[in-house]
Amino acid sequence: MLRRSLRSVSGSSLALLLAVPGCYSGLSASPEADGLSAGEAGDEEGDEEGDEAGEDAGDDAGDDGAGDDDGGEPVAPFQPSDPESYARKVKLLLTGEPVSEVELDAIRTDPESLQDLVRGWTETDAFRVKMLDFFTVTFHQEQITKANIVSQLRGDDATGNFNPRNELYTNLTESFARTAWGIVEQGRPFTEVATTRRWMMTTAMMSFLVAADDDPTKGQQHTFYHNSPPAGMGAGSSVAQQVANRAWYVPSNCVDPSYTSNRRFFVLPALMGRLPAAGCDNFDANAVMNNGDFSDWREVELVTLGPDDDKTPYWDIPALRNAATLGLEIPRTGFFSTPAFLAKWRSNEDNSFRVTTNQALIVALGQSFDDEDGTLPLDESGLSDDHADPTTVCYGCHKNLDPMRDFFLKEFDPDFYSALDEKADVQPSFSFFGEVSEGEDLTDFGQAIAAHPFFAGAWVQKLCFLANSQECNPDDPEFERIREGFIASGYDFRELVIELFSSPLVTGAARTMTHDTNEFLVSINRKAHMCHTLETRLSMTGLCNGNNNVAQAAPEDAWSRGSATPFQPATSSLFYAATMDAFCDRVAKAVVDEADSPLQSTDMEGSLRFLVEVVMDLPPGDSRHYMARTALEDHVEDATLLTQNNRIVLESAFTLACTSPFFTSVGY
Amino acid sequence: MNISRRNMLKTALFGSGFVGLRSMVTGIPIAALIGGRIDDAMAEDITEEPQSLVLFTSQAGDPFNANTPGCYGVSGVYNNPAASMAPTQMMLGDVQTTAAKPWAEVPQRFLDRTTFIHHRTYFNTHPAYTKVLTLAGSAKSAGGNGADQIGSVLSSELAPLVDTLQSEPLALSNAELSFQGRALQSLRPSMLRQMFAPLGGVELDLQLLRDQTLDDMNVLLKEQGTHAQRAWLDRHALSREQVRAIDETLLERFAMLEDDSPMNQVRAAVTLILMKVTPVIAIQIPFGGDNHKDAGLVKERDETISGVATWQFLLEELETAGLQDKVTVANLNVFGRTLRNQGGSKGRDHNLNHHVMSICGKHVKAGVVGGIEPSGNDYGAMSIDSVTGQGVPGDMGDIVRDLTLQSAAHTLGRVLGLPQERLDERIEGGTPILSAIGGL
Repeated sequence: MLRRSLRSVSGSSLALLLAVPGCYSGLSASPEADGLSAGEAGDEEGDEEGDEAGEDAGDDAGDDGAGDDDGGEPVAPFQPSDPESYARKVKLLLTGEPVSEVELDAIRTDPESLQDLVRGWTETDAFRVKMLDFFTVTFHQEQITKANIVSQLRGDDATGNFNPRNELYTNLTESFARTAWGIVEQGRPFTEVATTRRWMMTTAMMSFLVAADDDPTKGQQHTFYHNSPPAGMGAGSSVAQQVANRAWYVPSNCVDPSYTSNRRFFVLPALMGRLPAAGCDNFDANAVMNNGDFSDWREVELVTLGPDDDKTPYWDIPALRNAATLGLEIPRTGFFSTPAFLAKWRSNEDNSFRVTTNQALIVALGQSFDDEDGTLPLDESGLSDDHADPTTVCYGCHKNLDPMRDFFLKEFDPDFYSALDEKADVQPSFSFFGEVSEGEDLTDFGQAIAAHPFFAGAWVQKLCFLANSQECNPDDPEFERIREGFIASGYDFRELVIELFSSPLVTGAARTMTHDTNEFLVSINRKAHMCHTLETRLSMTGLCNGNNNVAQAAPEDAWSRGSATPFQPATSSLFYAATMDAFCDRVAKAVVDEADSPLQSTDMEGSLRFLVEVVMDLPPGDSRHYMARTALEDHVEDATLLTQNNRIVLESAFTLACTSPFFTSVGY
Repeated sequence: MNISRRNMLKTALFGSGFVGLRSMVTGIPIAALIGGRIDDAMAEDITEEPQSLVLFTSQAGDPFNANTPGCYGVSGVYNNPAASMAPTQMMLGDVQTTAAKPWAEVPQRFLDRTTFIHHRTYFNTHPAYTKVLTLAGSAKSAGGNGADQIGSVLSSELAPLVDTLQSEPLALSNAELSFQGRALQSLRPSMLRQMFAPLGGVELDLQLLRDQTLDDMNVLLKEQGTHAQRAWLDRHALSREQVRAIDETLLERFAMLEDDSPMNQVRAAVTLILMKVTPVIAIQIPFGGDNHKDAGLVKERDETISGVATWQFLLEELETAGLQDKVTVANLNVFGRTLRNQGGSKGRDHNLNHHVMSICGKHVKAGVVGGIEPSGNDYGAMSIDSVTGQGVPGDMGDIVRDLTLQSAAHTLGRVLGLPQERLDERIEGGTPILSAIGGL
């Protein structure tokens, strides 16, 4: 007989069971709706091109809250979480690392010690990595494609042969998350995410920003040569000569006689070693970018150039490489003017940056335009004729929205976010839920956002979503306490994390008003947390990479256009179960018996201990440790009867641990 | 008897006893019963074999409405000018109508069970897509407290009737579906292929062992856990059992899904219906997309041709699987497109006043419901006579313009086999369009 019952281990008489699948007796016929109020956020991953044109932002502002689309089911009575469960939850969310025996003892002895532990956890590199992920998604920086980036250089949608190194996309995606992290790390007010002109950039990204700063229809000629150099140039020409003459030596005859272009969407990739010619798709040369130019992250100060100021050309890689400032005509400021944000929220002539403006407010202030916002704008400059009639439903939003979108209209082409030859003659202003200010450019827009009273509550709420997969009740005194503390701290984001993640709002250790209105959840382990946690605990990377990786089927956090509530599936489903089966099986095969892996089939004892204490995060002091350990041991013993291949046995044990409630859930 | 519509409703509703009750049972509007427009003897209970639903839906706002039956012969309406989209006469059951050529070339057996309902969606922005899915708040949660999406409403009502694994609908595309307030993940065909890759030999045996252990573990954990933890365990265990119960022949169908194209969404949808996973599956069939700048309406032409082909392919796949009488196919986009000729390099803009819902299924009576009339500087759906399905200009139909979306949804619910009583609980406002419902 193969099976042993865990019940027998827990003290009942020993009983052997047949290996019969699906014998779980705790099931109801159909799962009850758990009456959650997650709102109606949707999934916008995938094809964005159909979403771009002609819409007006802000119609569904009232649609984002819990009350609009709740399930109508009563909230189950609150039951407080135990320290083992909430310690695991908090540490998983903040670092992905397992809770240690010492930490668990400390929390059991004195639950208040959680806050000190959380403080320590926020000082780890694992927390930094978590926050980078969080910021990338929360600042809406994650959907760069070839089309929506090249349009910022080219001024139209055709991708042509735009073929930069893939690292450029990664640089553009990561830049603002790194910038935000820098603000956190340096203890600067988090409101600077809306005002900062000190961005983390690489040399490659700096080159892109300069290239995107000029009118796309204008450009100077560049020549890439090998055997047919322009006059005065040759194979031995210095970097300075090449930069000065815009003539670039290519150490391959793939360009013979030469390649010439004034189109920056060709030239920029060429400066990355990629020319649209056979054999020229990956060359090194002393004057073009090298690998280091895609990884030399540093803080660079953006400086607004006047009409007569010199601009470092995008092709002067040595100068950019050594620059601590970057002069641009467009006064890019904050998260809402990054190429990545603009790429995610495409606009067009009809929409005219309304979507961009609305999304910026959703990110920073957690609020979309709403026709019930009675704030009167300074004036109606920029209000389009189509929406100027006060008796229409459009007017309520557009009276505020249209003057505000002029901050973007002034600088960018509405179809492609490419630079304008001359700034548009518009007078932007900010008016939103009680706050009104005039402005000249994007820096003023950022200042208005940073000063808005909604900012603090919006970010407490965003972290509530991160922690609980649903919103906290903003009327909850505990929520208000944390919000006020965030403000009093000078908008110290790390202090906010510490306060919130040690609060019963997140731990569920005690009842708050939020628990009366929003049933406390145990959530599935969504993709970002799942991948990061596993990579952290296994000390491996890339476990979820690749478009065909089944991990891509795991639910993930995302933001939809117009929604102040993120898309966060929290409940298990047939598909989640199937995904975890396939994913864990795949990881097992990639991890077991690999060099430097903690899981070696020659050390089954050590491997099982690792699975329980690290992968499942059940240290010896956890009341469930012994049960889990016994389960794995019994499984190994039974599996050995099926196969003598210890590697396969250990792979199966890994899959068991990985598909257990201790890994597939957050809050167990 | 000459009774004004308003007085009739006021005096007849339930207070008159028999008529109100009969209306409730049959789903026929009281007005029609009292007015003698429907023979009471014919008003049978039409709750027949319940259907599953494949809903092609999108927030792109495709110009599906611009070239379908009912859009032709109206002065000023600019249908697609391409020769391959030439206006062509066709029959929908007994009804002669005109549509773009691709529609006319669909096999008659499909056209004979298809209706095209002209209605409004009331919203003009892409982000309002989820509002349209809730029928502007008219689709109600089961408890009657709060709005729900129509896919969720239909799915939850159909699940016990069709006996599916889950009550939640499923999206194979970008559709932003939610179920009772919970956001649902979209699953692509390519993901399904990976998720359901079959096991064999010792791998399968090991999986069975693991399942046993997880079951035992769950039993022990439930002895101690909080309500939230126990609820999670229950749901996850059920999910795992559902995976294990999938037939091998169905798993083989998933193995053939090479990409996420509309065709493969169709294949995946049919497989999921065979698996009885859910009663409602959303896919996306492009019909021109958000074509503001579609000069010459070229994209509209190309995608209408391919879209109709995909729609036909879906119906053929359902036939091949023996599901043609068990599955209804319908569409709901966030809005339709403008119908006037905007000339030059322009395509079509958003049109909150006109959308066409097609419904194809066993219980559908073929034809065209409603019509279009000038609205603002473009065209919009007329009000509708709920008995004849005729469009009534000037908002004088008993289904007023602002209830045409709800009424289209009622009609869809009825042809899916849901009793009117349940639909009245879940959809506030509107009334079913009897001319589109088979059996009347």
